[in-house]
Amino acid sequence: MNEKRMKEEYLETLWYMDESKENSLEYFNREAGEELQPKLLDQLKEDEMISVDADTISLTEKGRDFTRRLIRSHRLAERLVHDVLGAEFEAGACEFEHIVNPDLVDSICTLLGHPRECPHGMPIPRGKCCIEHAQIVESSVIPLDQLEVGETARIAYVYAPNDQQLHRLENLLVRPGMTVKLHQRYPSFVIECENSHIALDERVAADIHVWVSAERHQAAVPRPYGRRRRRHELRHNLRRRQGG
Amino acid sequence: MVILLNTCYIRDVMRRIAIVGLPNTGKSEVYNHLTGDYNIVANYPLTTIEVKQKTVKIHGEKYEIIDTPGLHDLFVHSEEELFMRNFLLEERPDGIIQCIDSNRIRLSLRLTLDLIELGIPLAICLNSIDDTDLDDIGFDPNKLSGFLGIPVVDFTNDGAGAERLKNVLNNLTPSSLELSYGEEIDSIVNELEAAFPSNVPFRRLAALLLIEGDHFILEGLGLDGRDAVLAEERFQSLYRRTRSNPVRLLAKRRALLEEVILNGAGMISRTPAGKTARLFAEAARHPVFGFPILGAIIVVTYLLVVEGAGAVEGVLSGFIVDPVVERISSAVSSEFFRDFLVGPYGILTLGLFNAIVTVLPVLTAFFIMLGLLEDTGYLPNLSVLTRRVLGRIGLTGKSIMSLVLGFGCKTMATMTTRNIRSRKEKLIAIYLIAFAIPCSAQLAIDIAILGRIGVRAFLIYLFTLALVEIAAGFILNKILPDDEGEDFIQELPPIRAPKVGAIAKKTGYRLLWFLKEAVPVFVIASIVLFAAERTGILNATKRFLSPVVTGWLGLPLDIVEVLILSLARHEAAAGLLLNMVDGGALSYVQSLVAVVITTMFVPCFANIVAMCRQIGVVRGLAITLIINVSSFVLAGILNWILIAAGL
Repeated sequence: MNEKRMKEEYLETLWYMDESKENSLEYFNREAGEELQPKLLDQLKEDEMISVDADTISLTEKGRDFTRRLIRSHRLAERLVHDVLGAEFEAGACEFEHIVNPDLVDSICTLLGHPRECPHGMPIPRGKCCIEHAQIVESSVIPLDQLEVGETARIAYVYAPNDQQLHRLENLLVRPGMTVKLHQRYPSFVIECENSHIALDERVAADIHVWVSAERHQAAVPRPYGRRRRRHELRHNLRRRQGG
Repeated sequence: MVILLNTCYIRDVMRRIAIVGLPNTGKSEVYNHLTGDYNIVANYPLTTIEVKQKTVKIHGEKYEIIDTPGLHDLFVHSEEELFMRNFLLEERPDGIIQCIDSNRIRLSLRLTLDLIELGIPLAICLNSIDDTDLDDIGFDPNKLSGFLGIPVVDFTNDGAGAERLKNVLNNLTPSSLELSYGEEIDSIVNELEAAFPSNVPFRRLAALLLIEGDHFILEGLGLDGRDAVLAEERFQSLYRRTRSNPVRLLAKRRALLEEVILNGAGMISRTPAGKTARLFAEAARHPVFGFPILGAIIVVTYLLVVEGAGAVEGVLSGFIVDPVVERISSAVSSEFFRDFLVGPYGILTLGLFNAIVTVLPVLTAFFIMLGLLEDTGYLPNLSVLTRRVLGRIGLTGKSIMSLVLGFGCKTMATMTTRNIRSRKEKLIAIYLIAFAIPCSAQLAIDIAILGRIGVRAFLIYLFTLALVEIAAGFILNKILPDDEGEDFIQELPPIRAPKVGAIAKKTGYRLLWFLKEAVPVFVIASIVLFAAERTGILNATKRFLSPVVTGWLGLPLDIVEVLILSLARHEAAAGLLLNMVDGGALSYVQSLVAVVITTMFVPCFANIVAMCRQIGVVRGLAITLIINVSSFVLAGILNWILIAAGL
């Protein structure tokens, strides 16, 4: 493994540590194992990517910005391999983040409908394309509220503002891999999943993402991405941030 | 002698069997069949909200059968959901019967997995089997039984099903299936399990729940401070070691396990519900057709209660009441006793006859209608239609269903609000349920009263109450501090054709309860009023309230009696009011104002208690007070508006 790769692996480790609220140097050393090269750490410190003192180690603001891109590529790659190819996701993705360019990453992200979690359930850092809701590449995954009434689709991802809600949906079998049929949009969304009918509000419906069926995809005319919907999503994201 | 005592003792050992299952999977039906008791059954979730038990002898063995509220799994997020789980963990029943709706088997498997992990002897009871062609879905109960290593009983509603269930009760065993959740999860579970002190029960289940982020489980298992902290620390370090999200991994593994079980049971495809039923369900919640259907239901109810029950009442009073009153009037010479029996506050006229001849037919008609709506599963579809309106007044989540249930019984509906997480939403829901929603018995009698003065009055009544509720909700939504609102996710039960026998039985039981609980109130109330009148207390109270009652509300002073009766039971008060309207004591406007104020005034005692249990005594009483004051203010305003409108 060359030095650049190695440094990037260190940065990723620090990102994971940060996600589990961990910043002890001892922990980092254990994670890095025998291969730890103090020289590389010093270089990272010189580049102002990390800050190290007696017993803690963490990413600097600059380091975070850089690593966010790595993590994003890594987790998107996992999604791609897991969702599209149906394969075990860890093997290929390791290398992926060191190679791809930002434009390619954004295209993959758009293709997958801007997923928010990797297959392990960890958050995928958002990119420019997510914030702008780019749909230049026709998405294969769309929110449930963009389905037509009577249409059937397979669920790709389910997001929820809190665990409780995710759990409720899970209990109703609204989960990735299940097939749902949209029965009604107004005054409430009604879907059919595994023989039971479930009423939802538009917020919940927008958080369930489904695969677009093949024939629809071919004939697809991109639906206008209305102002109303964008406003809704902005509000939704705001709420999510405040809630979290 | 000693030996004899011993055998007696052994024979008296009682096994406790809990019936658990998802909401609306027929638990109460099974309970009723096993115990010969009757618990209200209906085709929607939340019908049973409290544990109910009865001791019975089955095949010579003594059992305590326990009916429980719906349960999705053993994972809890909030203190409210703790109740059912603690019941299972602490009371530790000797056996569990899991009810599963055979139309939606997969939905129940998550709970089955949890129950298998619980390790308590288990049997599965497949319900709604009458509606399902098992061959159609390729489902074989015997295969499932073999796969899980526990009895699986198909429960038909003809008594044979109950017999099959009774036969397996005395040899229930825990499932022999060992569940694995993949290497990563299994290793965490094993390490955690080992970290718990060995005297802790349900260690494996506790480990699984801890992984899912259930913060209540340590406390629930009675781990004291140090052990709990140690377990929590152990878990945290294990959690950090993984680079994935164990919650999601576990969910994924469970989904796989469910698949494995379904395959093991030979299930291949699903059955669609009947075509007509689906069509009706779709129409009932359709934005265009839904409202005419609701309207039609209201019209039919109105006709049934006003015309149908009115005819029965006419016949009854012609054949029974009039002759009896006449006989007594001529036979009893003492004026005191004549009044006591058949006077204006007579124990027979106001008490018994009023209850049985006037109120009973009204309630019968109404309960038949309510039973129809309940058993078809129509009511939850209303939540689809009303959600947007209710969203404007701060009711966005589970409260919508609670509010709909308020039309059945306000006390029960108040108790279902314990599942609402948002404090604001819960408070609004409790307030609105207690305020201007008439409970089923009151609504029935209200309709009967208004039916006597015309359809227009009925419409004004509906409009007024709806307006009051929306205004109150709107104000509460504005003044209460915002919190994290809830999203709306509501399962809709499949529409089923109602069965005549089931509805007759349910109506019968409801009337029986009414006779048992409300008729004594009618009789006692008539005695109390009779006494109050004789001692002059009634007149003093009336004089005291006269400015408000006659001045502001424009009602005759006699209405004070109705208001007093409202404190005890609303349908008793409504019954008295019905009596007064029949006697021609009230004008058109007065009747309307009186009906509206008795609907809003003082929630019944049980409802107040339920409120206090949900939100604390101080708030509960405060709401009661606010409701009482506003009901006087609003009814007065209605009075003046009606007068100004020239009615």
